[in-house]
Amino acid sequence: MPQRIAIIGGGAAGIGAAGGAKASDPSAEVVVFTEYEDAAYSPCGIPYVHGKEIPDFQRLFLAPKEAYVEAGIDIRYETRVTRIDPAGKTLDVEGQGEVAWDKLIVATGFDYADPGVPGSDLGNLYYVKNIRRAMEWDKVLDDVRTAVVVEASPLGLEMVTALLHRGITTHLVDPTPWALSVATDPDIAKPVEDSWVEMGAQLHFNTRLEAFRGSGTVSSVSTSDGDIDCDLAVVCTAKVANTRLAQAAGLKVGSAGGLIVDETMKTPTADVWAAGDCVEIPHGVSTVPVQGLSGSHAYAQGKVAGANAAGGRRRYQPVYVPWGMVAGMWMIGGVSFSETLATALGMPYVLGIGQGISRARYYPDVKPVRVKLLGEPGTLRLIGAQMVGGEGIKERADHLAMAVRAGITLRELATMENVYSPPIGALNEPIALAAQNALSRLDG
Amino acid sequence: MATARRGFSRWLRARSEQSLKQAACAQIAARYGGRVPPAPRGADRFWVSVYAPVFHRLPRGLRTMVIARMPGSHRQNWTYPSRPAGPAV
Repeated sequence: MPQRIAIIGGGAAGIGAAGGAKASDPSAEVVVFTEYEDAAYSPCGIPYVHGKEIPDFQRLFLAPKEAYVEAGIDIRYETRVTRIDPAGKTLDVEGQGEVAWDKLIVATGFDYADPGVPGSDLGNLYYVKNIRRAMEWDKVLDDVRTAVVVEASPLGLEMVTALLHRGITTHLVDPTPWALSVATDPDIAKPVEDSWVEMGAQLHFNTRLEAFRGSGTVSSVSTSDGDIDCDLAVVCTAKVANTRLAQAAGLKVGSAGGLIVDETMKTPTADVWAAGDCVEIPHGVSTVPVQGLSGSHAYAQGKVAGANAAGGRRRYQPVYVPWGMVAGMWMIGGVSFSETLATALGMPYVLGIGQGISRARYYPDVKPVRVKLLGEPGTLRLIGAQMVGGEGIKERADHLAMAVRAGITLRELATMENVYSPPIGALNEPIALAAQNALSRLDG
Repeated sequence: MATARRGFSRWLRARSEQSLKQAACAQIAARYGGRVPPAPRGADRFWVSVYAPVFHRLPRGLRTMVIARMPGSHRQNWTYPSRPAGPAV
């Protein structure tokens, strides 16, 4: 009799887990429960449809529903799991009663942090998550003249840019002094903020959200800096692990708020694995667990959880968190620690800053690239980086994440070889320039 | 009891992070000429003006030990990468 592997959640982690389980044990009965009408689409692409860079939502789907049927994966759409019984190995499923499982994977994702202000139940508060709702909101956006984006989180940065592209007067309200104020430093965020202003945005940093106001739907947002009239507010607060169901079943949560897992994505509860935004993973440099990573992290964790639940032996690894995005007229990105975060944690560092270019200086459309590198004093091992530039940021962030993971030092980066080809790379690589700058500071 | 301890750990971490970040933003803003966060008010004054400096004065080993003892995935089995030695081929 084939083993039954139940997966709660049809996002990147859940679908990754289903594929991982089937690959590990093709005879396994894999059942995915999702509350939504769809599974396996890219919610991260939603801001770019709103911004009209992507022409339609259909392109965000990874595969048609039939593809999962053909792969032997039973996805139960619009199906809510209301209880997990780890001892009896059953789930209570709305409309289906008790469903038995041999192995369980929890991939329940995230919720946005509650803004915690009056008026949070008003209409026209948009939480970007579900693609069907996004399709409806996209029509609403046609009639929106003024919008407020709440918090300069990664999604907040993308939504500000998208709404500006859409021709909507956009206000950004954030309680911190600059955009992404932990992942970035003010010198990295400034070009982005300047470009938003150039595009027409009104920025309200160091500004607390106090209330959403309106009758039925939001008509203004009250802040510590005054009221802002608007037709729509996009709530982009922090991603909080959705662990309600798992915690009710006795699964343990760590200090970051995510479910506790080991490197096989196994929870301490027998025959239960977990993956994606509902778990916490140790950081590779600090070892402190972190939560709320990217879709690529969730998918990879799901693959590991699914493979292992089905009987395989795969390991996930501590994370170094490369990140990047288009914000305003710039690309920004980084890995692990900014100066701000290192300072907050009391981590000493040596700093190098390089200002370079993305292509040969004479090649059309050459763009500036600013790189900041943080190294551990003494060993000079790379522990963090940030970048802002016109292009090539994602590739550098990926490269530098591997450099942190491999223990590469600033001395090695200072003498790195680099591709020189006028349309795609300059004579001097900005990463090398930043590392050389760090060494010259050390040498006085 | 264990649930209460986990709840306290989460609260402590969240509160600690918030105050440490606020204090760090002020330092980094001063260095780069950026916007400075508003002065802390109410209970924030304790966390930013007292807790954050005390945290930074603690020996790093002690801070690491406290963090290591908090409940979380880091206390499970994880393999950290080791740096290879010798030639690749």
